[in-house]
Amino acid sequence: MKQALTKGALAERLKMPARGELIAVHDNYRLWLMVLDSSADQPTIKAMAEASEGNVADTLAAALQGLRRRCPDIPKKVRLFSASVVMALLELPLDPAKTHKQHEMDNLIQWELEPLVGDANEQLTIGSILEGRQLMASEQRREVAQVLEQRRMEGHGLARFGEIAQELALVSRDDVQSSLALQEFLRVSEPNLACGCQVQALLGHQPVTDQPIRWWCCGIDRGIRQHWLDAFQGHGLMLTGIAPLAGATMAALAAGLEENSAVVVDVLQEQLLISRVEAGVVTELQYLPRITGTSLNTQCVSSMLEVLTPQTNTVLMGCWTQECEAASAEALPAWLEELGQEIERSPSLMTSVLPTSTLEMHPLIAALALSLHPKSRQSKSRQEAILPVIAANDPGPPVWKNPNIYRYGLPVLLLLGAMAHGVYSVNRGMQLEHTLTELESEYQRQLEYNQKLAALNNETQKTTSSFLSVNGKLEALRTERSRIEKQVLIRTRQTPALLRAIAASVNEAVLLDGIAEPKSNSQGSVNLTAWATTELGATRFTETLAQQLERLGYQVTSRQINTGISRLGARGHTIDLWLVPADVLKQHEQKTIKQGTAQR
Amino acid sequence: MKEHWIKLTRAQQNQTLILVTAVMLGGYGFWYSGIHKELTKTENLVSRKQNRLEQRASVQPAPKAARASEKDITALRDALEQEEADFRRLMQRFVPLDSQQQQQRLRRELTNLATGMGLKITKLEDVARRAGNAQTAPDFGNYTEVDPRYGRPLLALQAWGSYFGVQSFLDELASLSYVAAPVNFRLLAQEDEDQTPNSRPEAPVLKVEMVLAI
Repeated sequence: MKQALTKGALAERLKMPARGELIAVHDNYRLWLMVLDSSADQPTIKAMAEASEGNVADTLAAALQGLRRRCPDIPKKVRLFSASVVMALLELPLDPAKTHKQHEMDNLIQWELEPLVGDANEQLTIGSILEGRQLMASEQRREVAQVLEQRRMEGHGLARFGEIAQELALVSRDDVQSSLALQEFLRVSEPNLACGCQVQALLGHQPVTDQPIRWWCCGIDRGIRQHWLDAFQGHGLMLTGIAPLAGATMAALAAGLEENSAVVVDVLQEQLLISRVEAGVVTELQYLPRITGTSLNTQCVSSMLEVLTPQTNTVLMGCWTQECEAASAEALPAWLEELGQEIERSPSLMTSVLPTSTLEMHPLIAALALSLHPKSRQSKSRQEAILPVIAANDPGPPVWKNPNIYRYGLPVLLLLGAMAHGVYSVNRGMQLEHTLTELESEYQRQLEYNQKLAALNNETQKTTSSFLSVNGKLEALRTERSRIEKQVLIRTRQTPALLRAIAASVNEAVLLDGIAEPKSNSQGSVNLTAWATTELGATRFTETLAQQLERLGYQVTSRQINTGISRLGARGHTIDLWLVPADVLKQHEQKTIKQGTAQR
Repeated sequence: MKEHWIKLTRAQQNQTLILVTAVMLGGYGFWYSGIHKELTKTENLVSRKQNRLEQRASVQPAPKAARASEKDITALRDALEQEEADFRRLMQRFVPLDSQQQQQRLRRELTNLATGMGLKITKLEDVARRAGNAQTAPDFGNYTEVDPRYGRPLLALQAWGSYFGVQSFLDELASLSYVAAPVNFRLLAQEDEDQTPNSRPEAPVLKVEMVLAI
C-alpha cells in the first residue's frame, strides 16, 4: 500500500539538514534545546541547554542564551517536541494513497482530538506547573494539596493552591505569577487545532491490508503553535515542525522495535501514554492520567498489564520527568519480576543510541535527537522512525492573495524600476555625450571641408576669370591684328598686283576707261570699264584678265561687252565687268543656295 | 535587524516600508533631477548641433571643372605676350598715332613719292576731318581720327597722273618710313584739263582717287 501523502510528507518534514538541527523539547514546564553535530561520522550532541522561565519567549531566550555559550553556531532550523500536542490512534475514512488538503484533514481530525485537549487542560493545574518547573517538589505539592483540602473543608472555598504555597513559603509570588501566566498560555478554552497525521506504521512497515487502516494523529492549538512560531522567529530560527512529546519514546527507541512485540510507556508528569507496537506498527495507544497517591511503579505495572499480550517480549519506558528518571532504571527489573513474564530487554537497546555517559542531560531526549539524526537513519541496522508531525504554519495563501508580496514587492519593484531608470538615464546621457562629440567633430570636419571647397571654388573662379580675361585679350589682339593684316596690309600688295594684272591684260585693241572700287561695302570688288575696237579684242582682254586675276584670287564676273562709243568718240565695243575676290563670290553663292533651300 | 523588524507591529512595518520607499524615491528623484537637467541640456545641444550641421555646414557643391588649368593659363599668357609682341612689331610699321610730326613726315614722303612718280596731287587730307560738310567743325579734341572699319587713320589722295605713275606709286609705297595702304581706289581716264588743244590726245590722263590707311 502506498503511503505517498503521509509518509512522504512527514519524512520530508523530518528531514535533517546537512548542517545539523536544533531539537527543542518542551514538556509544558521546561524547555530543552539540543544541537546535533552532523559533521562527524557518528552523530553526537554538541550542546544542550535547559530553561524554565514560565513565559515561552523568556524561556526560549534563556535556553538559547545558555546554548550559545556552549555552541556559538546554532542551526537555523528547529524541530519542536511538545507535550501540548495531543495524539490519538484513529480510523479515518481516507485513502493513504491519495493526497488530501490540510484544512480538510484538520476538520476531519479536530473533533476527535478535542476531548484529549480538554483532558490536558484539566491536568494543567498550578500545582503541576510549579512541580514541573521544579519550583516545588512532589512532596511539597502533596502537602499544599492537603492544606488546601483541609481549608476547603473548613469552609474556605476560595482558597487557592498558589496562595497556600506562598503562605507556606514554598514558592515566591513571582513563581506563582509566572506559573499562572504559563497556565494561561497552555490552557485552551476554545480549541482550534492544527493537525498532523501518519499511518500507524512506526518503522515504514506496511499495515495489514485485511485490517482497517488506523492513523496516528496529533494536534496542537493554533494559538500555542503561533506563539512558538513567533518566539523562534524572534530569535532568527525557523520552526520546521511540531511533533508530540508523548509517544516520542517510540521514535527514540524505534530501532529496538523492529522485530519485537513491545509495550512502550511514556511517563509524563500528569499522565501515562501506553503504546503497543507489533513489529514496528503501532497497534494501540492509550492515555492514562497519573493517580495521586499511587506510586509510578504500581501505576505503570497495572497499566501495562492491560495491554500485554503473550507475544510481548519487550517493555520500554520513557520518562519525561525528572521524578521518574532515576526511578525507572532501578524499577524496571522489579516490574519485570512483578509482571511475571519473560520479557527480554536488550541492554544494547539503550546504550546503542546513547551518547557518551559524560554528557549531563536527559538520556531520553538525547536518544530521541540522535535517533532522528540523518546518519543514524542511513544506518542499515536502524529503520527510520516516522512520527506524526504538525506543520509549523498553515499553508500560505496563493501568491496573488499574499499581502506581503505587495507590501515588500511594491517597494522592491519601485527600487528596481528606479535603478533601471537610473541606469537607462546614465546610459542615455553617455550616449548623448558620445553623439554630441561625434556631431562636433562632424561639424568641424564639414566646416574645414567647406572652407577648402570655397577656397577651391574661388581659385577656380579666379583661374577661369583669368583665363577668360587673357583669352579675351588674346582674341581681341588677334582680331585686331587680323583686321589690320587682312584689310590694310594686304592691300599694299594686292592693289599693285591687281593693277599690274589689269595692265598685263590690256592689248592693242583695248582702252581702259576706269577702275573704280565702291566706297562702301566693296569687299574688295572692283568695277572695270574699258573700250575695245573689236569684239575679239574685248573678249581676248577679258579672258586674259580672268587668267591673270585667277592667280590673285579674283574672278571676273558680270561681264558686259556692248557696242558703244569710246570717250574719244570712236565706235567700238564697251566693256563693263566686276573683279570680285573668289572667297566673297563663294560665300555669296553658298548664301544663295541656303536661301533657295529654305524657300523650297 | 530581522528580530527588530519582527517585533514591530504590522502597522509599524507598513509605516516603515512607506517611509523607506518615500525616502528612496525622494533620494532617487533628487539624484535624477541633476541627471535630468544634464540630459535635457545635452539633448538640446545635440539638437542644436544637428540643426547647425544641416543648415550651416551643408556641403557646398563641388567646383565645376575649371575651364583651364594654370598650365593652360600660363600657355595662354605666353601666347598673349607673343601676340602682343607681334602686334607691337606690326604696329611699329604704322605711323604713331600720337605723333603729328611722324604723320606729317609720312605725308611729306607720300607727296614726294607721288611727285616723283609724275603724279600731280590735287588733294591730300585726312578723311575723318573732312568727312563732314563744311558747316560742321571736326572734333579737334582727338589728335587723330581712327577709322572704325580699318582701325587706322585714313588719308584721301586725289591726283592726276599716268597709269604707269600710279603703278609705280603703289609699288613704291613699301619704301616709305611707315605703312600707307591703299584701301580704296578709283582710276578714271579723263582728258587733262590743263592739256592744250595742240597736245597729243593719245596720252590719256588718269584721275586718281585713293584712300590710304596709315
